[in-house]
Amino acid sequence: MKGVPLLEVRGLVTTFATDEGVARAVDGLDLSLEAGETLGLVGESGCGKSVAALSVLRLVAEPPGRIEQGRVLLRGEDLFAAGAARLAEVRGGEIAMVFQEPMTALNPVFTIENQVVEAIRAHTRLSRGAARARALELLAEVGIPDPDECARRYPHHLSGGMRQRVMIAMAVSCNPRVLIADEPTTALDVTIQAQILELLARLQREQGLAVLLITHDLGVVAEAAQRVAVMYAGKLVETAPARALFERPRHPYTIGLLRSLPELARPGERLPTIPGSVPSAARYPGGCRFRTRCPLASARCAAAEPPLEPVDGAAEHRAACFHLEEALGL
Amino acid sequence: MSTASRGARVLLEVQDLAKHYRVRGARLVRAVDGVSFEIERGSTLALVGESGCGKTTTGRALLRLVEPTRGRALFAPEPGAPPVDLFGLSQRELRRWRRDLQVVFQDPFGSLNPRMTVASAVGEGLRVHGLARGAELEARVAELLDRVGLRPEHGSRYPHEFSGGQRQRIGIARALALAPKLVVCDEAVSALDVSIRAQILNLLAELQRDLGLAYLFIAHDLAVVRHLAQRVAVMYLGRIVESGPAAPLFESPLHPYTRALLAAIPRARPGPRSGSRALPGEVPSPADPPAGCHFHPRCPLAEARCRESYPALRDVGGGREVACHLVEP
Repeated sequence: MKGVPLLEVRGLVTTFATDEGVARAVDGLDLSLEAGETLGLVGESGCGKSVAALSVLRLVAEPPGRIEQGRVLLRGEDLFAAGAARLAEVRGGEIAMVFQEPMTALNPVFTIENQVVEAIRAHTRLSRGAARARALELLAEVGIPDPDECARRYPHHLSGGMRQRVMIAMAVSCNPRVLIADEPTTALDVTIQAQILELLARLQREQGLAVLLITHDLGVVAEAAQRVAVMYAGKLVETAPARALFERPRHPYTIGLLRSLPELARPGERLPTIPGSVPSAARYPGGCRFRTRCPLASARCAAAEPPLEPVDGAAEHRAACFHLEEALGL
Repeated sequence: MSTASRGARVLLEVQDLAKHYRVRGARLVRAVDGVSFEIERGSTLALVGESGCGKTTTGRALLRLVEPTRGRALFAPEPGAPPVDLFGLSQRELRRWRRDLQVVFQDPFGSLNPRMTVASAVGEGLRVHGLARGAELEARVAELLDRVGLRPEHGSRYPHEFSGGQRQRIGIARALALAPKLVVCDEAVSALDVSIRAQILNLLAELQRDLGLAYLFIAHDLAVVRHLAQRVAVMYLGRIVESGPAAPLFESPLHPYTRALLAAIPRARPGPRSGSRALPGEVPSPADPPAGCHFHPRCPLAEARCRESYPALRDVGGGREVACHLVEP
C-alpha cells in the first residue's frame, strides 16, 4: 500500500467577489505531490492555476478572495485547520514559494545579504554570523558567480536572472520539502530560463524536493515535469505522466492546446485553433465548462459536469470528458 | 541584379542604422550599432534576440518613435517610384509616408485610447488623413472589423470590454485602415495565450496573403518566428550576428549564439536531452560591451582573435550572412 502523499490538495474551492458576481476561480481541485517529483500545473490565463498555488499556503487575499472548501494536507496534516503560528512555520519552512517577478518579492531597500539572512533566521536558530555564512553558501549554491559581491548589492542592481537565483536561494534556505514555483522563468530570456530550469532540476535531485511548477508554457512543462495537470476554467480537465500527456492527450482542450503550438506545425501552415476565448470566471457555462469551445460537445455536456476518470483504465492518466472515445478521432 | 528589378522587389532597405543614448552625461549606450537589412514586398523579416539586443529600438527608430543616431531607411511603397529615406524626412513630411508604414504593439490595451469606441479608434487614421468621412467612413470601418474577425456591433463598444485576443484584432484593424505596405509587429503575439496566439498568427498570415503586406516581426519567441517569417535576423548587443532565410537558419544555425538560442527553447515534447543546453553567463550591459566579438565571453568556441576584433557580417552564400571569425565562408 502506498503511503500518505507528501502534499495533497482535496476538493479545493476558491472564489473571488467580482463586479460580475462570485467567480469560482478554483472549483473542486484535487492534486497530489510526492517527494522528489515535479508536477506541472498548466493552463491559460485565468484558469485558476496561480490562485490554486496561493490557496495551498492560504496566501489568497481575503477579501475579495475566499477559500470556500477543501483541504490541503502536508504529510497528512491539514494546513487549513492549522493555527496561524503553525502556518507561519510551514510558509517558507516546509513549503517554499518562488514567483514570476522576483523584483516584487524582494524588498528594494535592503541588501541581498539582509534578505537572505532574514529568510534563514525566520526559520532557524542560527546566529547572525552563522546565518550570514550560510547565506553566502546558498548564493554560491544557486550559481551566483561572486556571492560576496552579490550579498552587498540591492535587488535593482541585479539582472532578472540573478534576482530569480536569489529568490531560489531564499526559498531553499530552510530545506523545504515542497517548492511551489509560479511561472518562475516566464519573465526571463530563453537562455536564462534554461539556466534556471537546470538549477531547479539540480536542487530537486540533490535535496529530494517536490516541485509544483505552475506555468502557461507547455515547453517548460514538457522539459521539467514528470507529471502534468491541465486546468481549464477552474477545473482539472486532464492529468497524466508527462510523456502520455504530450504523446496521447485525450481531453479535447489538451488536444486543441497542443495543436495550436506553432512549433508542432509546418512553417507557414494554418494553425489549428480553439475557437472563441475563455469565458469570464463569473460566467462559466453549466455542465462541462469547455463545451462552448469544444468540437465534440453534445447535449450531455450541457446537462452534467464530466468527472475526472481513468483513460483506457490507466489510473495515472485521467480526463474529465464524456467523449473520450470520440476524442481519439480528433 | 539590375537596379530596376531590385527596386521592384525591395520594399525597405535599412543601411547602417544606429541608435546611441548618452546616459548620465557620460556613458554612451549603443542600443543599436550599425544594423542593415532588407524587407521584400509582401514578405516577413523577423528580428529576434533577447532583452537588450536592440530589436525593439530598431523597430522604433524605423517608425521614428525614437530618432536614429545614423543610418538610412530607404522605403519604396510604390514599386515604380524612387525610394524615400525615412530618416531624412521632417516629422511633417513623414506623415504622408506613415500611411504605408504602420505598427502593432505587444499590449493592445496600452495602445488603445480607453475613451474612444472601437469604431473611432479604427477609423482615426482615415479621418486624420482625410480619406473618408460619414457613411463612407462607417462602411470602411465595418469592413475592417469584418476583415479581422470582429462583428460590426463591436464598433460601438470600448476597448476594456474586449479580451486580449480581441483587442489585438482591434489593434490590427487600426493598423490596416490606411492600407499600409509594411507593418511593424513589435511582440504582437507575446502577451497572448497559446490558443488565442494561434488565431492571431493565422490572421496575420491571411492578411499578408490577401493584401500583400510585408511585416517586420520583432519577437523573442523563436517557434512563432519559424512559423511566420521568410527571413530572420538574429541580434545580440545591438548588432546582427546572423541572418538568412528561415528554414536553413533554423535547421543549421551558423553563429554559436544562434545555436545556443535555438537549443535553449523548451520543446513541448518530453524526453531526455543530451547534456546541458544552458549558455553560461548573461548578456553584458550595452553600455560596456566586451571588446572584440561581443559574444566571446559566453561563447564555447571563443579564441584569441575573438577577443581582439569584432567579426564583420559576411556573406556565406544562400542568402545567409554571419558575423563570426570561426565560420568558414
